[in-house]
Amino acid sequence: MRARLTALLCVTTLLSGCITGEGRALDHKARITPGMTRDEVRVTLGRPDDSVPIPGEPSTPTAAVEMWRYSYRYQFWSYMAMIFLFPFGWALVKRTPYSFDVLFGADGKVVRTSSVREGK
Amino acid sequence: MSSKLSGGNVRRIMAKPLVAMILSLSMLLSGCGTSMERIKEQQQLIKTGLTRDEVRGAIGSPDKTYAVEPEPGVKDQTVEVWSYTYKVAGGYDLAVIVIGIAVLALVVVVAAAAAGGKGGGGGFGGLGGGGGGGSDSNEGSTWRFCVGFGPDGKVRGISSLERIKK
Repeated sequence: MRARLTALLCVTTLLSGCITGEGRALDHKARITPGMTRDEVRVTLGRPDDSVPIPGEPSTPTAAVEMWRYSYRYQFWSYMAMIFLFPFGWALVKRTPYSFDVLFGADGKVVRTSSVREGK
Repeated sequence: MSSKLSGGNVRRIMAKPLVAMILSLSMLLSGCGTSMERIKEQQQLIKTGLTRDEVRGAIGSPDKTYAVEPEPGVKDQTVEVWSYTYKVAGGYDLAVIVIGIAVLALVVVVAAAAAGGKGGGGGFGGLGGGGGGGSDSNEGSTWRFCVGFGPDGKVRGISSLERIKK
């Protein structure tokens, strides 16, 4: 019984640590390469969580005019871990989302992606 | 006692606060939403070269801010974007409806009070809602413009007004 409980705790702790949004964000970011069109990005990653124009960028080919933001949270596993590890789960589980941006140039193609960071 | 409260006295006593209430209510309601003109005015207040504080002073704090990861090796670029979102309200039409209902209520109250006295009519005759006029297809829609700041903290550009929600 004790061994099972320990195993469960270990697995859950591992899951809570491993399955955060970071891994998924890094994986998804890797799928985006410069030169992809908006439609290709949409097909690859789905609709962005947020998008915003970038005014004031110089009119160079590498300048970004629009930014799409993708955020990853893995709420389900976070909540599972929190339940299994109650009352310590709240402190152990990383609940903050990870996000990265896809930046499009004036030609509507990806010019670059930002690094994956913690927070929305 | 009862003569004091009948007819013209009642009308006079009730009319002032009621009119004041109607006017303030309709003013409040008409000011609730933002009109397209107001949004454009706000947008036009922003000029390149303004600082963050000046922008905040002119049109208030943004609804959302976005940090833009700078392109390595490029000095001259936008590093932060402030997004301003506005909802276009029913505005004018809504105010007209409210005024119409309120005026109708006033007429009923005054007429009822007057009926208790002499029975004279009075008041505001045919004041109705009137045709709406100026009905805007943008009503209820949400609009946004963005302000881009450079590394020096000054406005580099303002995006055009875009409709983000119907």
